[in-house]
Amino acid sequence: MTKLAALIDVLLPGDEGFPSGSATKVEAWLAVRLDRFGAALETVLAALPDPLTVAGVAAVEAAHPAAFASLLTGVYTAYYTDPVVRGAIERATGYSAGPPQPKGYELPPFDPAVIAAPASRAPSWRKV
Amino acid sequence: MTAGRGDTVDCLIVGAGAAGAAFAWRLASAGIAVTCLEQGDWADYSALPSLGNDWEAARQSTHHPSSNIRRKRCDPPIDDADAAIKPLMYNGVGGSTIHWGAHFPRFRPSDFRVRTLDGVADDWPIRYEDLAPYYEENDAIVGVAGLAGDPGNPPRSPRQMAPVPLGGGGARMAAAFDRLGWRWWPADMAINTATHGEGRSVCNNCGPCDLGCPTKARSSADVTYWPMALKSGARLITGASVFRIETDSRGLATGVAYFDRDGSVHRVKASIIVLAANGVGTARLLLLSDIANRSGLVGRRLMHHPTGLVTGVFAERLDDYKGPFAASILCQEFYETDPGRPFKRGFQMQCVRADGPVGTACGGYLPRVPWGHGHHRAFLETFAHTTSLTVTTEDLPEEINRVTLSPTLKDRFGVPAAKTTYRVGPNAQAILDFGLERATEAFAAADASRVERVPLIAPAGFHLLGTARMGGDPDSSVINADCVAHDVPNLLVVDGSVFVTAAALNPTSTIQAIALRAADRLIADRHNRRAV
Ligand SMILES: Cc1cc2nc3c(=O)[nH]c(=O)nc-3n(C[C@H](O)[C@H](O)[C@H](O)COP(=O)(O)OP(=O)(O)OC[C@H]3O[C@@H](n4cnc5c(N)ncnc54)[C@H](O)[C@@H]3O)c2cc1C
Repeated sequence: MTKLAALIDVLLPGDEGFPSGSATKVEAWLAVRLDRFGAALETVLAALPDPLTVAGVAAVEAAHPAAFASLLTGVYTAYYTDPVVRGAIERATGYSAGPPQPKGYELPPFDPAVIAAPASRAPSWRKV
Repeated sequence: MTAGRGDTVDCLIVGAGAAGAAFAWRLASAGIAVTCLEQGDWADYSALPSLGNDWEAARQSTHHPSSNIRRKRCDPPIDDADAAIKPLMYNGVGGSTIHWGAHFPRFRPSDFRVRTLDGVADDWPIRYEDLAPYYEENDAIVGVAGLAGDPGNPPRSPRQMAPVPLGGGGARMAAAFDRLGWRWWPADMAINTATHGEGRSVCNNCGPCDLGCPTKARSSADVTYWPMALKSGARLITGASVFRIETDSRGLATGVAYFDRDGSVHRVKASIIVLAANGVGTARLLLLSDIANRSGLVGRRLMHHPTGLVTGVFAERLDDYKGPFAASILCQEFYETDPGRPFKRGFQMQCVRADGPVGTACGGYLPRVPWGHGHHRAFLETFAHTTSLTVTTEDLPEEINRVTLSPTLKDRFGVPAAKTTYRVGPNAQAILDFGLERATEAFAAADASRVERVPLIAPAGFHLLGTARMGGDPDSSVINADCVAHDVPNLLVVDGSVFVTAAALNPTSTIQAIALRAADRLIADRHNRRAV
């Protein structure tokens, strides 16, 4: 396992029906986006202790907050766009694993009963 | 389509966004030959991010509303290092409506009279009644989902379509507002909840309107006014970055110079030039051309509407990832000045929906979900369990908030970029502080289990207003009530730059109403001249 894969698993351990980070596309996704995440990756990887511990990763976050935050955005984005992870969300919540379009969701009709209270109020705009 | 060197046109518009589109249609349908130059391109509806699983990744990069992050070839950079609020926009046919949430409120009558009523800033030289017929006409063209009868606003004609459904979060917050006795109303939204307009279908409630709407249910200007304008004979040239307005010795505008995509310079002569390049682009162009600035106000009085955000987490599911992200209800309980409050004017709360999985994990509405053990549990407790209220404040104009030319940053043609300088003024800060408290109170009334605040959203410069203000006095305003530059009688400005004050709500229905009115005044002026 690469140092990056080990870090990804500390960040996103597999539980609650979700895969661990290294079992998804995260590492490969980051590898083709080095223009955006390369500098952060380099900073964080260089600072990581060996062996890797949760406390050690937390210390790197405290020492390099901007680089860590940027890398974490990349890790979360890759993870939560992975089809396996989206399948896990669908199983847990019913949220569709597919993209929002073209299916979308049903557009329920507007229920006019909801405006009973605000419709009964006096005008509140100032006439000028 | 290209314009060759030495082209001469009757009316030339710069910018094909919300205002430029409406103006072009009105003139073209009156038989006036109109050409519009737009630095960007048409949006490609076959490749919108919401059709793919990576849609939330696109939101962070290729489809981010900041041109500095998107960095397409047609996006001039903006120096916003000294701005507490970062300007957002889209450069292309439809302008920033390509990204917009399609909230479509009107200004209230008091918004045009803040000096007289509240002793702050300046009155507009036009009144609500001057714009009312144009609001109506614009609504009919764009198509508004909503409900007439809001006691908080002047009467208006029946909306074209039924309101956007409230959704889980909207229903929760509506009930909370009722409990508190606060006024709220379904928002006017420029979104089709029924068929309206040619080639546009009905909203399928998918959520991320900001990434472009494959059904064309959301009314960006490229799917509303532009098809009508082109049919009426308007000409639209894309990939044309205007960098100078040219003038003659009498001070009249004679035409513009622009770079095409390849960097070749073209010149177009025109009898009338109309700027619709938004509150940043128009100011940049006027400053680059060093015209229409006797008042010294070009670029000054930039207004954005400082916005805070409060999010409630609920034990039960709201499923607010469904539905137009900027909808569905608004609360204007605290909109008008109240002498008992420590500020003038007020704010609007807008109930907005929730993020998808990536946005939930990375944070935005809520703080980022912590990494490590417990991550997935925390994710599941927040995803689909939140709804938010924005607090959008009146932004009184200040001359120190401004657009200038960057001394260092240039676009890809070597032309100085715009620089924005912006701070949140004391009145807006007081409104924000008060508004965040009220939004928090609303979430308590809604029984939220957790409430989080973002005191000021920095990347929320959605509204670009005030940088070429309208007024009667050439020494204290840039254009007159008909949008004609005091100093250059054949130059008009019709975009958000013209705003005298900002109100406390989304500006685009007012921008388009002003553009339609300005077009009518121009047409009438031409008829009168011919009749003489
Ligand atoms: C994410 C987001 C959400 C929003 N949501 C809402 C909402 O819900 N409701 C609302 O009312 N408003 C909303 N807005 C704001 C709304 O989009 C703008 O108010 C509106 O588009 C402004 O219209 P405009 O014509 O002034 O400028 P724009 O629509 O920005 O158009 C200006 C055009 O001019 C072009 N241009 C600029 N300079 C040059 C040049 N030198 N040469 C050639 N072309 C040039 C640009 O490329 C652009 O296409 C939102 C904006 C964003 C970014």
